[in-house]
Amino acid sequence: MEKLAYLLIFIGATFWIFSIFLMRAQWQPQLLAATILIVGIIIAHVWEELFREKK
Amino acid sequence: MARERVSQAEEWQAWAQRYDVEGGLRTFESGLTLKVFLGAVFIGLLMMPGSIYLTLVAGQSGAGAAPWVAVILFTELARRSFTTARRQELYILLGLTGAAVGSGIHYRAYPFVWYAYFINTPQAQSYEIADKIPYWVAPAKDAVAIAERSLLHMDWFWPIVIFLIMKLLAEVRYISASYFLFRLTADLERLPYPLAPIHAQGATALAETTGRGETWRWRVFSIGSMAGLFWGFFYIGIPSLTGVMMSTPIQILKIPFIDFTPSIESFAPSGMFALWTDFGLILQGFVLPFPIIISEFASAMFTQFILNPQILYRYEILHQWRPGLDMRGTKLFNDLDFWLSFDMGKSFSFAAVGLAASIPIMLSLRQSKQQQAGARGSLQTPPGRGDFPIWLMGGLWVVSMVVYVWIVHRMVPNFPVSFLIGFAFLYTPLHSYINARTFGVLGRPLFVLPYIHQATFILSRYEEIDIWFVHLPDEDYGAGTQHWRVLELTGTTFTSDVLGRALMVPLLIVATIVVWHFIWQIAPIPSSQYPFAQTWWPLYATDECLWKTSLRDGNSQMLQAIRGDYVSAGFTSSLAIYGFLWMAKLPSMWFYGIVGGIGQDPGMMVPRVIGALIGRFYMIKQFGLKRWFMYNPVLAAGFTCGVGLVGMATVAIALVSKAVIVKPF
Repeated sequence: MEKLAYLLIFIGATFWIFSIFLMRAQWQPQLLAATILIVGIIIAHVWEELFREKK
Repeated sequence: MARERVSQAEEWQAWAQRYDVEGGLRTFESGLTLKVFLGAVFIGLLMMPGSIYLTLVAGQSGAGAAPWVAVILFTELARRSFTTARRQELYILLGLTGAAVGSGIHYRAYPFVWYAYFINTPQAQSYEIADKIPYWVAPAKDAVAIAERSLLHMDWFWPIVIFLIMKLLAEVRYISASYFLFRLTADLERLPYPLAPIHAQGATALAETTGRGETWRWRVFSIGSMAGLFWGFFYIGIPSLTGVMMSTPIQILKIPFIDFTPSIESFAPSGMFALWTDFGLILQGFVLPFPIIISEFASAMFTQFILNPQILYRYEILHQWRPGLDMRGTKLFNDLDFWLSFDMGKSFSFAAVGLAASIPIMLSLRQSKQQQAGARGSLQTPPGRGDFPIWLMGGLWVVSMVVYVWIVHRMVPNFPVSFLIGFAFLYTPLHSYINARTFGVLGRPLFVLPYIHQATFILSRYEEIDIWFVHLPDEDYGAGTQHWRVLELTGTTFTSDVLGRALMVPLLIVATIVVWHFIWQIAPIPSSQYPFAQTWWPLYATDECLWKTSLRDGNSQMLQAIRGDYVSAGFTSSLAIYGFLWMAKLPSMWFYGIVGGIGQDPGMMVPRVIGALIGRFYMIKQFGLKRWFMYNPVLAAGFTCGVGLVGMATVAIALVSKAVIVKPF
């Protein structure tokens, strides 16, 4: 789960940079990147709160 | 060596404990006693007419220091009566007298006299507003009540009835919603509320003076007060007093800042740097979390010296800036070009991050029911705190908001009700939640959505002017959450605070209307009797007319400045920063600092940075971490008290000088 969070945050951030430089910073791809980042951040917190302590 | 991951839960918990200088060990007592209530009513009602009068005459009310004066008077009375005053009593007294003295000092808080003036101004006539002011705002311009300058007249029936209902509903909404958010941010998430101990420790220190033994608190508070008196005299007193005697006041340090923006434009075009000279902010630097202050400053420096000049200006995103502009001009153009939109986006990221952190806590709530009160992820309350069922407060807010929306809908029946519902049940909760979180971490609000009313009016295609006179249901309860935290730190039961407010508010509303009536009876407002109002109210009237007619052609420069791609950039880049900090196992405090500082002027942060560095590298070594965190809120509270006292004395002298009539012979 931690790895998935890492992956999503990395993809989201990379896609955002890509959207800024290669897609003329249009708001639609930026918000898609934001959605990926939010999912990654939620998974990161779910892992921290619910799974990490159990481990 | 790999960095150890500290979860956000552990991080917040550690900071919350650091700011709880008594280690969470306290008993809760009621702060509302008969002597406190009578004292607050007496002092409040005695000072309130004076503060309203002072505002009309000199533009300054002295309301900031008045509660401290009341508390010092109260403690002195207690000492001379060989009795003691508890800190819970003093904190409730501070709150009640503050509410009483501050009540109605702003001309828009009790707007009857303002609208009685506004309806007859040439501006309102020429902008064709005067005849369109609704009956629930003010009587007709030729009404007897306005001619006789009386608020105690039947002509004011509807404005006053609507005002009373709205005020009481607003109080219910504020108490219930701020409590609800406090439970989420302080109990469930354990956000540290770094500025809450300053308010708490002032009352605690003064309470100790009435006891048998004085502790370190009174000594530290006195040192802070003396520093505040000295600084207040230097920074506020000298300019104010010389302003009374001379045409140009003497400012030893330029107020409020020294602008270096034109000086840096050769190497940082479109960057701004204005050094704020209020070195009282050093004390805030002592108190606020060190990582936040430093990361905020670093990111502000990066913005103004690299991002603005080397990227945004070079690629013509900041296209309105011209050489020679000062800080205000630079800020205005940069905001219009880019930062207004970007800041909106970054504010939304605080909500997104907050919700992302809260959702798993909610999911784990069932497990945490067995956890003790004070642990993160638990909604258990400390015994004796005087809590309310969270469903009750949530329900109260919903009911009072529904009633409020219904009344507003009746007042402006043709305005689309969907916009009112959107404001009440989407915008207000989001706005309040974001600011509750930023108060919990940074001690200040961060969420600002500019020109939301104008945008709403344009989208609704509503063209009547009456909508401008309605208070739309967009509210921010974020600041109120800090008050509950202060009550907790002082060991004051929540029930006593709510009861005190419930008793005081109706009394204050009636008293303030009566006081405005009598002040209006003395002389017309504005007139030469009230010089400040005479100077400024005509300007306010013009301003109000301009706003109310600004959308007649469906255009607004400010609205056109908001761009979706820049809002998205602010939102997504902030989330990316949060994500990278999490991946790098760095504290989430850095996120609030970095994102909070982007786009800001680093000059305004310099005093806080100085305070943070002195605290971190000298004071902590000198006193030890625990003792320094105990000392600094008390020191800051004393300082606030000292500056406030100087401010009040200065206002009094200015008032006397304005009361003296110079005869020409």
